[in-house]
Parts: sequence; C-alpha cells; structure tokens
Amino acid sequence: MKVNGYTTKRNRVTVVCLLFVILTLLLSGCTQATAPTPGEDESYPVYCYVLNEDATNMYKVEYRFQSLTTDAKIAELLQQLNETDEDKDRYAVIPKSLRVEEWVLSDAGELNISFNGEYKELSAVREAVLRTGVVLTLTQLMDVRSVSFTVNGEPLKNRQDEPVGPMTAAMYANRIGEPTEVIDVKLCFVNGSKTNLTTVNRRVFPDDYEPMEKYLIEFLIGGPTDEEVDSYDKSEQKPIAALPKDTRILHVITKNSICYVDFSSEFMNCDKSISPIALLHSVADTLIRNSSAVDTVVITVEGKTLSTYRNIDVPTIFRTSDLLITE
Amino acid sequence: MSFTLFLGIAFCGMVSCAVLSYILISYNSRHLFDASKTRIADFVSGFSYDIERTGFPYGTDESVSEELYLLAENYHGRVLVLDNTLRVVFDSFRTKNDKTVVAPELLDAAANKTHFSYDEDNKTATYACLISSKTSKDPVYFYLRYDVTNELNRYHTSRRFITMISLCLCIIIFTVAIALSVAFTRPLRRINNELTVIGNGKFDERVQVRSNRQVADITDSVNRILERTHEMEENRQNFVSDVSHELKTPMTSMKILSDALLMSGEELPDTVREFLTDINSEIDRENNIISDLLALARMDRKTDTIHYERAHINDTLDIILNRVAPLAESKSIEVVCESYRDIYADVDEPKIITAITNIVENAIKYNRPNGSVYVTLNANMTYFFVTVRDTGFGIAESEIGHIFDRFYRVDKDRSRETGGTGLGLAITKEIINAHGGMIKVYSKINEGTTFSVRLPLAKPVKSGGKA
Repeated sequence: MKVNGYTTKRNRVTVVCLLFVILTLLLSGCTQATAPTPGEDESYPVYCYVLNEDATNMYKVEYRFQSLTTDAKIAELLQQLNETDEDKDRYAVIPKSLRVEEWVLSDAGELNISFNGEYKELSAVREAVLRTGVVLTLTQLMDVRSVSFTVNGEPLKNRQDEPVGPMTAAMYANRIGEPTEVIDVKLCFVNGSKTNLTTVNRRVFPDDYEPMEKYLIEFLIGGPTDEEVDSYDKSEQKPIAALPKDTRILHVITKNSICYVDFSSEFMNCDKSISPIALLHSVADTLIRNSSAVDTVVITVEGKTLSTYRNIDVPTIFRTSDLLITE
Repeated sequence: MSFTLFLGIAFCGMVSCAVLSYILISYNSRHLFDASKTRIADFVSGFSYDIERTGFPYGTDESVSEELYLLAENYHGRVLVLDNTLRVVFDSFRTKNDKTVVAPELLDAAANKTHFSYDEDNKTATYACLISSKTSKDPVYFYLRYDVTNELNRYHTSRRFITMISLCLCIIIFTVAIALSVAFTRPLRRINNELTVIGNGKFDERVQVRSNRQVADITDSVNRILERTHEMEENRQNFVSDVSHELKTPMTSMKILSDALLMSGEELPDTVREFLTDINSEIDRENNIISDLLALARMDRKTDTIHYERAHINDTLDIILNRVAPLAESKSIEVVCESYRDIYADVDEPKIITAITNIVENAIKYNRPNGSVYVTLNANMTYFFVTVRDTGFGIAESEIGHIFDRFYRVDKDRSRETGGTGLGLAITKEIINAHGGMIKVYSKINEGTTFSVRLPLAKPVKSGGKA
C-alpha cells in the first residue's frame, strides 16, 4: 500500500505526476498497487482494456499515444477498444456489431458516447463488460472525468428503466481486491502528551483484499510519517507511533455495526509511559471515525477480553459517544 | 549380474514408489477442497431459496445479509453478491457496494455456471457461481473468497507424510534389492568357485551347491557333463597307458638287439655302425618318452597313490642339486641354493624329487651360457615354498598358459636340441596337484623365469588317501 502526501492544488498536478513516475520506477519491485495516474505524460503509458477469447477475463494492455490533443487521444483509445488481434488473444471490448456513432466531450469533462441500436441486443454481462472497459480506459485521460452513453439518441437506462447517467472510474472495478479509489482517512495517533490523541489526515489508496478496518489499524501500527510529525509545532501535539511495530492483527470482523479487533500478545508491549486508555482509544476512535459501518469497537488480545491493561482498568467497549477527541 | 539385478529391482521398486506417491498426492490435491466446495454449494442452494422467499437484493429482509455476514465470518473471507449486470448488491467488506465488478472469476461463473480457483501464495480459494431463481428471470452472482490455510496445511502435511513414507519405502526397496541380488547370485558364485577348483585339475570332484531347485538343476547338469568328460578322460588315459605298454616291449627288444649288434665286436662297415648308433639313441629317446607317458598315465589314473612319508626337504633338495650338477657343469651354469630353515614335511619323496628336478633341469637347459639358477626353500606354518629362478630367455606371456600342457614346447627348435620329451612340466604339475600343492610361473622375456611351488607341510586330510 502506498500513501502520497495530501495536496489539492491543481497547478501542482504535473509535479505530482512526475513524482509518481519516479516513485513507480523506484518501487518497481513492490507488488502493491499504485494510484491510477492519468496518461498525460508522454513517457507514461495508459492501459487499454481488452478481453480474452471466451470473454472470461478482461485485462489491460499498455498503450502509448500517437497524438497530443485530448480529442485525438479519445479517438485513439476508442479505436483501440475496437481492435481485435486473435494471435495475441486480444479481443475488442466493443463488439463488432456495435458502432460508435459519435462522441462529445463537454467542458465539464463528461464524455458522451453514442451507440447504435445494437447496444440493446447485448447480454447483461456483455453490456457490463463493455461499460467497465470503456469507462476504465477513457477516464485515464485527465480531461475525461466521466463517461455517459447514449443509445439511439436516448440516454442509457438500466434494467429498472432509470437513467444511468455519467459513470466514473470509481463505479467500476476489473478485479475484486484491487483498489478502486483514493480515500481520505483521519488517523487518530497518540500524541506527545501520551494521554491524548492527535488526528492526522492522510490520503490513501489501499488494496481491497482485506476489510478497510484492518488497513486502518495497519496504518496505526505503521505510525505517523515524518511529514505528519513535522506539521505540528508543539511536541505535545506531535503524533507518535504508540502501537508496538510487531503487533499482529489476528482478526477484524464487523457485524451489526460492531467491529471486533483481536490483537496478538505483542499489543501488550507498548511503551510504559503511554496511557493505556489513550492507546485503546487511538484504535477505537480511528475505526469509528473512518468507517460508517462501525459505531462500536471491541478490542481483544489473543481472543481474550481486555479488562485491565498493565493493571490499569480499561474499558472493553468503545462507542461513538465515548470518543476521546471530537472535532 | 548381481549389480544388474540390484539395479533392476531398485529401479522398478523406486519407479513404482514414485508413481504411487504421485498418484496419492495428485488425488489428494484434486480433492483437497471438495469438502469446502460441497459446504459452499449447500449454502448456495439454501441461499437461492432465501432469494426466492425475500426477493433479495430488492427486498428489505435483513436476515439474508445477516446470513451472508455470518458466512464471511465463518470462512474468514469475503462474500459478494452481484446482480445480473455485475453490480455489487452485497459486499461483506462494504468497499465494493454498488460498483460494477468485471472480475475474471465472475465472468467465468457467467460463462460456466461455477468457478473455483485457489491462490497458493495468499492461501485463499475463490468460489463463484450463478444463482438462478424461479421468481426472477435475472440471475444473481455469488462470490466467496475464503481462507484455506488449514486445507493447505493439511495438504502439505499429507504430502510431506507421503513423501516420507515413499522415501522410507525406497530405502527398504534398496535394502531388499541388495539382499535379493546377493541371495540370487551367491549360489552361482559358489558354483563358479567350485568349477574353478575343478578346472584347476581336480576332475574327480563334483559341484555340491544345491541352494534351490534351479541351482540344483544346474549343478546336476554340470555334474553330468563332468561325469561324461571324466569317463572320456579315463578312456583316453587307458588308451595312452595301454599303447605305451604295448610299445615298450618291442622297444626293449629293439634296444637289446641294437646293443647286441654294437657290442658284438664284429667288424661293421662305418655307415652301418653310424646308423646303428643313431638308431640306438633314437630308441633311448623313444623309451624316455614312453616312460614319461607311463608315469603320467599312472598319475592320471590314480593307480599310483602318493605314499606320504616324513622327509627332510633340505636333504631332498640336496639330492636334486647333486643330480643336476653334471648337467649344470656341462652348460657352465651356476646353481645357487638358499635354505632359510630346516623343513620336515609329509611328502612322497621320490615323486617330489622328480617334480622339482624337472623344474631345475628346465632352468638349466633353457638358460644362457654362464647363466645362473637360484633355488630357495622357505616355509610358514602350513606350507613350504620352493622357488626356482633362472636368468634364461623367459617365456612369452601368450605361452605361459600352455607350458604345463603335454608335449607343449615353448621353442620347438631348441627343445629338440636340448632333448626333452615335452612331458616334464606336465608330470611336475600332476605330482604337485596330487600333493594338494600349487605351482605358479612368472616370466619376463630375456630376463628369466621364476617357478614357485607351494606344498603343504602335512598330509592333506581331505584328499590324502585318494589324491
């Protein structure tokens, strides 16, 4: 999992892009997924989604643009989506029978693609594959924020006869487990006072192989980044890594809005100066504040309910109303 | 043969062991997830009823999603339910809710009704299937990715176990192969040893190995052949002996007559006298040959038994050396004798004298002018050794094997010159064999020949009377 610094300034996009290229090169040995990066830079390839012969796998192939303007690039990608190369087991996402009649890119970045009437003949699965392939391929362009379909001059409607509307990359996934969107999380670290918490905002792009709750706790175990520590002036406010680094998460289950977290015994080995209550709250607050599905947290160690931590009585159940800090 | 047999058994055993363990392991791996697949399929068939009953995902009944969360928890995994357009309607992780997911597992399920795969590295298995219900024409996709650490551990344990068992089996097969090959070839080796002994001249002995029926059959066949050859050999010996006897009588008469003619004192023409002298010496030579033949025939037929008597071998050797002294002198050959100790042995002394004299005479006859002959005598606890080393012409390697053959001569021309019968060494060998001894020859062309004789100090117990 990789984390990039929090920034919203549009004029620094190019710098961020370049940073990504360098990072990707540096971390090329790392198997973790990296955030989707728009293919604006000439040296950075985009991917075109294609199918295998029996349409049981949609996968991406690298593609490098020939042209520079956005319109030409859209045309190139649509051309690629139509292309079939049987020798390479590469079959077009847009079926042969289907024709793209025209496409229009609005100023707001919504790309509208008009298909002929054949669209309605597609099977449900094939239609889903087509939507996914087209949206995931085209939204890689910086200027294309969403894609909408028109069939026979009418906006596309779903099975319930509701209009589908503009589709973004976040609505589609090619693999279960692959990350789909960048998420902003608020991590509650124990701070320099060792009895209180400091909230750190972080933009993350986690895998989807484990529940989100598990990734949140992993962030806490990983501790704050140097940048996050440096952004606070007073030492009491600076976030610290309170959870022992070798703590393993044995179990994270959320049901009925209760998140059950089971730590390995290493959890008990944290720094003696840190307040156990702050430590437990760091976990509970982070979970409750970031996951809408969690309003109660139960922490156990090696399957046993925690009633004391180093001979100090601690609460075993943390509810939304118990949060240590509120904003 | 023993090694080939061992290789054969070991190879067959190990190959069948490997094949067996491969079959077991692959069977194991094929059926590794059967139990969990069945359990999930059971759940899915129950779940399809729930869909019909509640109209999930469009209904409001919470119990269905409750059930799915429970399933995810029980399997330490993730459950997804998608509608027919591959939009996620339930995700136990919640992250993919409402998203359209075109994952290969789901596309495979769409094409083939069910999908199953497992990921060895992440220790997870994926089960996906298409659920059709009667009430709704649109099918629903069910996806479960679950933890298979236990299954994989069990599989690895059983694989280790099978591998270990087959390794143990291999070791056992290896040992059995060695034991079997040794057991099979031992009687054959023993037969070979006995045949070697027989081939060395003990033709009246028989092969005694009878470890199993097949070997006993071989033994019987070999013994029959030996019996036949023995009979033929006896016939031949009888023939030689009879002929020699028949020849000897007229030869004696001829000798007396020619002697009488030469000593009659009558004046004979020079040519006649010369021819008579030649005839006389030829008759002498013929007589020698006949005597040797008779001696051999007697040895062969065992009619001439060995009369063991205690003898002082050093004295015996002196007698021999004295006997050959004139011959040595005439050829100006130096004969050196070295005795390391006093030796007394049970031997048939006259025969031993004949045997060793033959060797020493040969050493003198086939020597260079002014050469030497070294005779040594030594003994250990059971045997005494006589070695005769000369500085003669030596015997070619190809001929060494034949020198004990009857009438065999290494150098035909020189033999005639030196006047042998070609039977001397054959007689020597017979005598030494009859004593239970051994004779060996080492020779190097142009350097000389060494005969070494080994004879037992005491009368052999086993074949004492007969041999």
